[in-house]
Amino acid sequence: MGLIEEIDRGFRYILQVLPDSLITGITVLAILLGNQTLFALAGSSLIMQALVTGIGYIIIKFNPDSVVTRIAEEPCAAGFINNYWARVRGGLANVDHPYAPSLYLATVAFFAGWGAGLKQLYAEEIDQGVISNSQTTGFLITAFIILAAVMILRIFVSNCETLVGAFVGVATGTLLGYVFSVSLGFATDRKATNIWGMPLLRDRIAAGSPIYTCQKDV
Amino acid sequence: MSGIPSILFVDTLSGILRFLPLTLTLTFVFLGIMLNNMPWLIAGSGVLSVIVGVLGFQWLLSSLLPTTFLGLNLAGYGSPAMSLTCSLIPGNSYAQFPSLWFAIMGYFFSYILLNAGSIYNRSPAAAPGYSPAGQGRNVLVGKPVSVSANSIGVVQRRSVGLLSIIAVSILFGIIMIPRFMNHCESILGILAGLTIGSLSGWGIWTGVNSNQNPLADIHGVVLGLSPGYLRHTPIACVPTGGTTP
Repeated sequence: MGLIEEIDRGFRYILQVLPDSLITGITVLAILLGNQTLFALAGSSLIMQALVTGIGYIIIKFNPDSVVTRIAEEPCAAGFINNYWARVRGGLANVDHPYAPSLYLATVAFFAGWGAGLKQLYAEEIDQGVISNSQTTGFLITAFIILAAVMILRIFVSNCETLVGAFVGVATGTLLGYVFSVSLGFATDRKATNIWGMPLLRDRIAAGSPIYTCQKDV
Repeated sequence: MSGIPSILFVDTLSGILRFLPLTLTLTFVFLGIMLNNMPWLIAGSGVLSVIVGVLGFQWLLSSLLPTTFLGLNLAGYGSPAMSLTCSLIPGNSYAQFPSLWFAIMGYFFSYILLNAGSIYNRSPAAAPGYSPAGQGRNVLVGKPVSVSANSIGVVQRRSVGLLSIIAVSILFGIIMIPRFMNHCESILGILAGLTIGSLSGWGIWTGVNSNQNPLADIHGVVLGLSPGYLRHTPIACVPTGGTTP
């Protein structure tokens, strides 16, 4: 078996299982690292998947032609957990997926949207140089380039998505990621989203606390 | 066990178990970029180098040595059936020595354990006193502020470290035993894989953690221990006891 063939197969497989891998990986890492922000991220991504699936089924109700029936093992099924759930739901050949929004792309876009939300939530601390501002901007641009690349591959190389389904999926996922991240941040005083564990600036004037504590005269 | 329980508990868990090294690698690299988390990206890049190294070593062994060497089955790839059921990428060539699965898990095991130990043992944070140069005797120099070893912050940090050490030890034990028992691995392959992986994890973590650099901190604790990372305009306290911004 040629090296190129193996790399190609590996790349395609990794791309296929990306959404399931990420959600499983985040959950396992949340336990291994004892990290509450990862639990929040895993929970939010599961809620997002349920919402996107719900939106898809509402679209199916009004437009039954938008259903795609797939065999779960084929390259378009989004990962190993989905394959097993498909079997629970009645067999490998009985997996109905709405054309739009694409659950796969919504999941990938969700994390890019979450990253964009974090950049806004911690803008003051980033401005103070806790982490580099240019680095956060660079990473955010890279995240959306990767998202665009994944979208192109899913539409044009593996032919798993329609153009409309892909765009609606990316828009829904990004929006939900951003909204979930910012709302959870505000609701928990930015504690449940502080993935970097950075020290937070507090508005001590509004809280009525002294701004600076100085040493008393001896 | 049959029906839905079988599908849920046997198929799903065996799927997660089989692909867990790949899952952890993807999560570290992908989320490192998406969420701008440099420590995760560094840990993920480290494991990519381990994967390339182990696959290269497997290829070298299969090219240079006969399939059976000194009576041991060290070189050569497994059957197509083994590639389908044991390989991290179904269908790709699968070799038992050194075990790629155990190399990756050994890497994460040592990397997470070392960092958890580091944040557990780290001494309480101390904020340095403000000592402006060239301000003369009118400026009172603040004393360094030390955090009590019993403060809530220190207890929380030590709890995260301890919890992580316990979780890693239990979870990796639970995960590695079934993999060992499913006939995909050989004893020599497991030992070699674990050695390569854990030594790489130790080496990369130690290199990144030089001078207690926060780039090694995959737990996301160290930045919060150092308020000095917030660069704000300092304030001087004058001898009369008042404050001047």
